[in-house]
Amino acid sequence: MNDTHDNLIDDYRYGFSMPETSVHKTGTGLDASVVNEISAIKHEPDWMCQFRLNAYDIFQSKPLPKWGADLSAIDFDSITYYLKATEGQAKSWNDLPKEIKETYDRIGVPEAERGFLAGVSAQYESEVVYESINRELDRQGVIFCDMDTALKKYPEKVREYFGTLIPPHDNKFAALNSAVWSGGSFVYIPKGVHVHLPLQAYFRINAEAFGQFERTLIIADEGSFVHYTEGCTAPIYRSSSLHSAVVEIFAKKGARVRYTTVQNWSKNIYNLVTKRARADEDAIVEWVDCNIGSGITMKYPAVYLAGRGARGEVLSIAYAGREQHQDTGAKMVHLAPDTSSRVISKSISKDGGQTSYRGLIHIAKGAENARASVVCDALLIGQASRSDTYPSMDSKNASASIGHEATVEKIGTEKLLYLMSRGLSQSDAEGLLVNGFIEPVAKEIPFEYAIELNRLINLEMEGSVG
Amino acid sequence: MNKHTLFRDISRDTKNSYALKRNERIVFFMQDRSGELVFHMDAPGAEAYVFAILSGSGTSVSSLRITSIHSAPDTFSRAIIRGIADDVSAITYNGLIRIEPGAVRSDASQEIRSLILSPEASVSSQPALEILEEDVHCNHSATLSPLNDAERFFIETRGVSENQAKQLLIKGFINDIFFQISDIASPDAIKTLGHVTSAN
Repeated sequence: MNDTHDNLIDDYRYGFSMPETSVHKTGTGLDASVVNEISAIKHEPDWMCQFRLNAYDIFQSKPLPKWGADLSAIDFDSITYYLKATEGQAKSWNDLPKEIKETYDRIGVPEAERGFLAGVSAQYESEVVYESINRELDRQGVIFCDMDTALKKYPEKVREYFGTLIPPHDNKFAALNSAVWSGGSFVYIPKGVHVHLPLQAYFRINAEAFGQFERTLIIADEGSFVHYTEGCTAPIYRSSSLHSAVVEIFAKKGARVRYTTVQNWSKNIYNLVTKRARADEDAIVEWVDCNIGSGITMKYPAVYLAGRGARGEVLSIAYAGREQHQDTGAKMVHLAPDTSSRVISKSISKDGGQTSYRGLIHIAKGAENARASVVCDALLIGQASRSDTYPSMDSKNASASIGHEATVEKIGTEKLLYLMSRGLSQSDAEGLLVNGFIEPVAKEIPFEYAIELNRLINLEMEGSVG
Repeated sequence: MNKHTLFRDISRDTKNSYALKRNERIVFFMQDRSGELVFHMDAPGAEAYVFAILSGSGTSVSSLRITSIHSAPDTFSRAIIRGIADDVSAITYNGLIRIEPGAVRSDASQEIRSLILSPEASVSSQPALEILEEDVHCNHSATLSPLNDAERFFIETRGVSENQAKQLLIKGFINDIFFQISDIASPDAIKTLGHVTSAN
């Protein structure tokens, strides 16, 4: 191929790093004493410490997955599992250390906009150092804080739900997260409350070879609504970093939860995330998942449709450039009658990148009249790119119906020629076509994210020789 | 069209691997075959149509895997599968289209449609794609559904019993395959399928 592709790496907008100013940092590697140390630093209750130690044993006993992306290069001994960026939490934006503010300025965390936002909870390294909850949310009884605070202030609520949807033995990385988790958000929406502005959290990895293991728990009580968004950018480092989050969502009767992710980790990050939601009667859970960055992503947001009439949706975009593998998908588990689900997946593989859609639709025996639909479209640009589709559909119910379709194509030569005949450069034309290709999903994400996504796609298209 | 089309009923064949020659067009048909079959599209211009019917009844468990590997340019493959699971039977279908680098202008597709007729029956399908070449057209589709109530009701209003209406719809679901075979191969091809009851 051509060296101009390196432009992407060199010009990576967010590829800078600030000097570390951490106060607490465990050594590299992981054993039971590190797990104990993390728990002790955080002054956690005994049950959480036991939960962590138990999860650590499970992590040790589980092998790496034999399917999916190649994870053999992860060196678990070279990773720092806990790092606290600043002592205590800043009360306001001005109290934040200068380096941290600079970092946020560069990635464009909207400081000026934060008054409009429902609450900006910016996770710098492993703990939430800044958060602001606006009075309106407080008045409504909404709880939006980092997970460590939640464990101190609302221990019963946390204990009731924590790790019940994604138990540590679910998979090796869920076990790792359960053992060493730090930070992440806790959200509780009381009955009937509608949060009109999206709750936002920005995540960022700064320390080299430092794994970020945030843990998010969202509980939407009956008839409530919330839209939670997270966006990630990370600086470039030489050695590989591991990001392994766990997100659990509980949508009670009639509640609706939308969870939007725009993920743009730098190319040396392993992004191995477990996301799962439970939808009770007439609840709706929507995952909007955009994976643009990271070297290897393995992420399959799931919805367990547990109550009659529940609905689940996954709308996803995956982009894999050179040396990237996006192994993403969706899981819909229909456990109750009249449940419905929809998956729309758009993937783009460019210049040797690999995207894989891996999905599951499961219709249990009692899921009368369940409906599921899956549409996967893949676009291939440039030689040596690869696109895989591995859907799995199981039905044990004679009244259920499932529809699945997938297509793989290259970018249309005629369309490119047409646009270029109107004076567009090849990369602009490609960017336009790719943005058109992902539009059905992109239109579902909040405006500022959509703009960022649009810019990212154009940035990724630059330097292309076609 | 002008290409000569061969028709092969491989329902009782013992081979698991089929390789097509340059510019050859073959229509394959199989009913209730289990196991793993591989179609090698490694000669330019080769065209394969693969039709399969899987019908499960009683306590039968059937499992079929069809793989099409395209490693030459201008190759074409179409797999069309119909599955019907009745009683307490289980049907598993695994499909794979793999396009190797360099197999430019490959055109490959798989279509699997399944019916579940009984509350105790189950169907599982995994139609996969592995595409390592940019210049291709590939798609697959899978559906899994009960008999259409509205269609059945329409037939019943014409004085047909519920059971007969059901049988008619199942027959239509399968006969679709035979219509396609007679279109692509020749109307004579399906006459050779003596063991297929639904063909009549």
